[in-house]
Amino acid sequence: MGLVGTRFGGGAGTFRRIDGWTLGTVLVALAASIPIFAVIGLALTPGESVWGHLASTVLPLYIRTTLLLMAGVGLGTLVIGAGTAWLVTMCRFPGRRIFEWALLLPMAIPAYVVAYVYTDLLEYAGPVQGALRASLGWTTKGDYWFPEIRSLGGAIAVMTLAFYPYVYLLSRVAFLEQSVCVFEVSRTLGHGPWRSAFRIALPLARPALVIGLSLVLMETLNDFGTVDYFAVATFTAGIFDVWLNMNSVSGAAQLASVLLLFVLVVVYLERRGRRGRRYHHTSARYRALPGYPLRGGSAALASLACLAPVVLGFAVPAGVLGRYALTHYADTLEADFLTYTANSLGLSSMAAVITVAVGIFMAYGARLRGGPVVTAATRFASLGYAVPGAVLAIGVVLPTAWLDNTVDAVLDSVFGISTGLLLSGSVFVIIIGYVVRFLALSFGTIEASLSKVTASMDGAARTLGAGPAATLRRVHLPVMRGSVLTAAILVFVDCMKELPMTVILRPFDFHTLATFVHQYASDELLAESSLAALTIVASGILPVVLLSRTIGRSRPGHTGAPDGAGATP
Amino acid sequence: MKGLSLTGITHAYGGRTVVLDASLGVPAGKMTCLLGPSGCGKTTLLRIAAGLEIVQHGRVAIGERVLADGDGRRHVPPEERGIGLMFQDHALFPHLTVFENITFGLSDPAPGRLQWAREALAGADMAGFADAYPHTLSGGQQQRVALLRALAPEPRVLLLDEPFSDLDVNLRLQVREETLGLLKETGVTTLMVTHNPEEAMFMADHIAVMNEGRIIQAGIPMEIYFRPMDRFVAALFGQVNRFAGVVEGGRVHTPVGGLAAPGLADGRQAHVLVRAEGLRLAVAGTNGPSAGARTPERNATPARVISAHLLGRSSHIHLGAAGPDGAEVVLHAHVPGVFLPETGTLVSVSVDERQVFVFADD
Repeated sequence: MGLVGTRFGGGAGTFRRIDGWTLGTVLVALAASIPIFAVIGLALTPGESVWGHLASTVLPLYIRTTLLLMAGVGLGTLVIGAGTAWLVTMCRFPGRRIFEWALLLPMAIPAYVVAYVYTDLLEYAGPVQGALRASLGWTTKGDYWFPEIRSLGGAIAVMTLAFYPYVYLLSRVAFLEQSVCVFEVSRTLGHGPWRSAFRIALPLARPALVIGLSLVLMETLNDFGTVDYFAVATFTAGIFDVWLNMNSVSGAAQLASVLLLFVLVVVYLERRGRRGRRYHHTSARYRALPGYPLRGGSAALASLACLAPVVLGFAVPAGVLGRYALTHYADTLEADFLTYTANSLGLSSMAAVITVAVGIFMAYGARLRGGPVVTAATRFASLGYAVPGAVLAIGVVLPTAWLDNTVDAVLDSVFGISTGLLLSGSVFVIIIGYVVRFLALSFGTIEASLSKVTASMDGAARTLGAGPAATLRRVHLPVMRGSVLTAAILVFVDCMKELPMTVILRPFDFHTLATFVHQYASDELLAESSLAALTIVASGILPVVLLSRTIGRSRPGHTGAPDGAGATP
Repeated sequence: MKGLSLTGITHAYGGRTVVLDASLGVPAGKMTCLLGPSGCGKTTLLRIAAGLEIVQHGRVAIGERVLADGDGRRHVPPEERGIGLMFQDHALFPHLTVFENITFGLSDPAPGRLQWAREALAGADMAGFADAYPHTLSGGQQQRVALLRALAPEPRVLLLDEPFSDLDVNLRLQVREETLGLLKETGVTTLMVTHNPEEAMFMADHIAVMNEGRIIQAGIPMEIYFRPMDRFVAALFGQVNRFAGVVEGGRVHTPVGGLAAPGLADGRQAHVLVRAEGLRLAVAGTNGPSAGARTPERNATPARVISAHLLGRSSHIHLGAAGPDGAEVVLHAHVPGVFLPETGTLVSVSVDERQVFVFADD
């Protein structure tokens, strides 16, 4: 709630004070929403329509493939994510304390890198099939059946391994937050531990599971590297095809707007989950979790169930990349690795700084002025995270091109100077794209930490002589410091991994680590780019460390439990 | 130095009026209490005085200096008002030490004020806590730090919002006395918001009673207690017996006898409130008074004991008496000391006229 600001007058009509903060917050939020408006606007603009063509040819295929992919990845991540979260939170078995954080590791590897590595391993010429042929005496493809990795099924497997940590993370937090009391009540009423799990713990965790699932689906819709490499015809792949191969921006925008419908459904799911969460939070009283000890076979099964995703999702890809990096690092260095690293680091840090600054401004403005308009504007601006990178890229390209042309035309007519294209095709456009896409990440993190500063702390600072800016500097920023850093790291790492927007928005012949790895891997040169891929993975470890520390602290009584449950190394 | 004045304040949130034409003077160097139930608008009034809410209608001034004037035309921001505010939840800054919290409001810390802060901490038995962080303090210690922080910049007016509400009973009494001592020592003009009548009576030089956004009565504690202007104020200080009746011959007939209705014309419908401690009991047929009970008086009414409860320093008795239409009416009596007659005991009830309040039905 705002402390001073827009209020309705009592009885004698209404008055509003439009001031710098309100205006600034709304303007920034609107600017961040332009790409989304641009896509919708273009899709609705009549003109060269590729609808008829698309609908008669590839549209049904796109829809079917995208839905199948979403269903497969959703199911896979739910089973693996919620299952492992339940095991490490509620049961005791060998290695549990390591799995608590190790299960997050696959988050560090982008799905497309997992895809490249497994293709390398499992294709006909790869080591696995080679070993099979050598040991079993097969000679040609016709002698045996082996699953084709470059397929829809392969894409589902790869994305499940890469995205299940979202579900794991959120359901683990939900299980940790659940009051053991409710669980114990269920047991005193005669339900065994497993029945209690299904009747109490899972339903209570449902909102968290829905949020985790919706994040997974957003990532699935966003993915470009995997589906491009596997030639799986999803919407995102279709957008690239229509744009880059058919050279139709408006066609791409029309596809993008259909994809936005999918996104709307997912966002709706997520919002519903978050709303439900408030009501599902049971009690503030924490006690040590029960921790059912597992013995013998069941303990071994539990360990195996947790080990498999870590090995397949992290150890194997990282190991393969590591081995290649040792043998082929010279090739990577020769391919101008240092320039690409500098490009990635520069873009990502610039984007992180801007995103966090905008996030702070919006979060503080929303807090200072409250009000339905400001709240709605900031919420809409945060939608960028749900919008697939390919769609957002179109939304960034169109307004910047328009701006460039307008500036050029105006200057040409007034001064007779032609400026050409200022923004389009420059790295600034990439940064704009990053900021819009990851604003929600920084806004959400900072907003959450701002809520630790109570309204009366604001009031106390004000009555003690500090103005709004001084209050931000002396109270809010110091309290938020940790979260600001967290937000910056999260944005930074996501920018390092970002592929679809970078591919579309980058200037000609400009590469980041991600686009370099994608291009090399697409040319069957994974080994030659392995050092670059490994660099992306290394940066991806950062948020994993941050996240595992955060959930360890999230449950007050948990770290104090006799067995040190929840403590992270 | 002049006091704080709020004149004709009306305030609404989204169409819901929470303060209605409230005027309040806080005399310089005195302690004024704003007393009322939760949600009556008293905290809003405090926030308006501090400048945390923009005035919609009315005027806020210290002495002749107008701080805020209707419709937000004039609004001195809170940081320039020289008004200190201590919050109900204390609102200590979690990232600053105790000493840094206290000196937060000293923009250009004069050595004298730093010295004052150190001495004040020592005076509050907290000399060793200067470098501690707020979350390590007890509730009482947090309260002291919040008070010192508000006092440090030497505000012209100090506002306290339910300063003792989250302390347990025994601690509350102790902290209350310490706080009063400190405030009297500094001589700062103070406005305190509370919903606890006993607290207001203890602390205040003046009390303003607020209900449903209006200030109903303002005066010294004696006036508020003995000359309440309406039923709400009369009922503020504990349980009351409520009767209704018509004025006849200057009196209203009630189950505890005919009670004088000064200033009310015959034939008017009247409400009579008798505080529970205004009923005096004597066990019928005995002459020597039990603890707290008196011998029957002229107007004594017979009643039968329904139940008796010992509250500690006093006893609470439920009585059954005959109502005007013959039906039994339950009376509440509050007598000092231990007085626990058996159920069914016949007692005679007389009335302390000072605890009887008769209001016209309006």
